[in-house]
Amino acid sequence: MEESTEHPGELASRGPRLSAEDKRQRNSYLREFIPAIVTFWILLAIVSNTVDQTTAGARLWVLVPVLPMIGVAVALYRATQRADEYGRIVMLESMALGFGVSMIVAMAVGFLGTIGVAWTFSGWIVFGAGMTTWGLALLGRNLT
Amino acid sequence: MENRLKELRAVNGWSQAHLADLLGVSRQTVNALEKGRYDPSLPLAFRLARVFSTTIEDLFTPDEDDLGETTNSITSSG
Repeated sequence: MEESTEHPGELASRGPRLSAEDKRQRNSYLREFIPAIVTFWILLAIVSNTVDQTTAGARLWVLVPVLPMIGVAVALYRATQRADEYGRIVMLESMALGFGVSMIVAMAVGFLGTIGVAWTFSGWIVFGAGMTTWGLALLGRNLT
Repeated sequence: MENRLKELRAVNGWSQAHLADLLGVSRQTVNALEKGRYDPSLPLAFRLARVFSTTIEDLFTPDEDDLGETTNSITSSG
């Protein structure tokens, strides 16, 4: 449990847990992240429900939800740039760990593919492994 | 690296968030500094010294591991 002693002179509304820098960084990140992720979910719903995925033309349309993820990536990059020195280390270390696990899983999936073991969802295995590792690494640094 | 941040913060009656505000960093950073999980950069160490009106040497004490094989240049040259 992290200690945070409330300063007697602090305004109650400011709260004991977050500094002004915490709030500035969080608000800036959410301002950029939320529109991108909402757009992603909307496009995903539209593509999932309207595009006939059995046709050849659908191959390009299923990529449409990926576009707003560029905005998510930009939001994450800018959050890294805004973070203070310790925050930047935590973010970059956890990203590096997620990247490493993604590469290992991608390699394993690739080798399996060479012997004929191939899944249509193998890309999601790589994505899930990387994102889960990244999230757990971030969580671990925040809880310890 | 051992430090006196928690002790001096308590003396001043500040919360971690208040100290973070004074330093312009996140509360998580202050927490990591106090627990010795993170050694600050030189600019942040100077900011800490200024906030507590003291010196970096008064705030931080290096462990033997931090010093490694370093020798004192004055005693080793004599």
